[in-house]
Amino acid sequence: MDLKIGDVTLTSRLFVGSALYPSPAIMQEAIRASGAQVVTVSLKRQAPASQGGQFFWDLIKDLDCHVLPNTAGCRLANDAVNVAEMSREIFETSWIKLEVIGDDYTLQPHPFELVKAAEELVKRGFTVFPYCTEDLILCQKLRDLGCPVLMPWCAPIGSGQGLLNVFSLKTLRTRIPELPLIIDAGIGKPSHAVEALELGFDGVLINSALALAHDPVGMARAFAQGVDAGRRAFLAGPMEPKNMAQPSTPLLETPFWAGGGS
Amino acid sequence: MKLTLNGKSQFFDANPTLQEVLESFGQTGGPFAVALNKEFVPRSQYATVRLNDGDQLDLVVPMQGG
Repeated sequence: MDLKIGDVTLTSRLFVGSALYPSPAIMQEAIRASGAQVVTVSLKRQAPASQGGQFFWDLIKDLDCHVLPNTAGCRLANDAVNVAEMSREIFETSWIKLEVIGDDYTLQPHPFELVKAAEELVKRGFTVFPYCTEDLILCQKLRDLGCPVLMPWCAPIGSGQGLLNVFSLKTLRTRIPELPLIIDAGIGKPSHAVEALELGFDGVLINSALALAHDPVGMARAFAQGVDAGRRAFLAGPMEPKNMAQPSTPLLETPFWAGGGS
Repeated sequence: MKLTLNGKSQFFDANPTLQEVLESFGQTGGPFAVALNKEFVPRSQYATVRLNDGDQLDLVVPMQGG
């Protein structure tokens, strides 16, 4: 049931974000309840000597999770590379969730800038977790550049719409069996996470679905169970669907047998 | 000389080091990083990098992210 990314082994397949929670205390409680071992963080410009960054960083360190900084807000490869460098220095990790946005309306990743940034960051020794679309060729390119994991969206960030393009996601899983695939954006409910894991995806990253739930802590527990159920179902091998009814009770010689059954 | 610090204009004596500018704001410790004209500057270079008129300095700190 473990998930290996590079030389790190994770027992939880749920990655969580740290934004949008009603309060810092609820953020901490929800992340703990989720059982996640990876939590995403970001950077912002702030007036010198302000203590806000320190306060937040202490909260995150207290969770004892792997920290996955993102490059949110970047639209150019060079900006993303510099944010990654600043993140590496602050958070003391070479992990980077590479986000390079190409469209403000959909927050769709910019494939060309993403590839450019990924190539440079891999050269600089980063472990790149690219936030990407489910486009097969893009994902193959990111794999070939040395990304050890891919993070395709299943729907726009924060939309909570679930797996909109199951065909392409299945294709991705089939054509890239050798890398961990983590659904990064668009998950809204635990059932979406179950579906992703049942399809063979290795994990999900969620933020809004937890933070915007009426009860983030309760939802975190639900997601933990959903991810676990989905993974177990994938490993157990779901039955093939059929077009017509198939009786589950053996019919031959049942009382009053007349060719039907349940 | 004029610097732009996190989007706001600030005035300094000619060509201070990055270290001197940070100290003038009391920014000597804690989790932060610096970009000069949008390029990352490693902490190890703060004492030697000199700033010029019109430079853009960005200081970043940790925050919530998804």
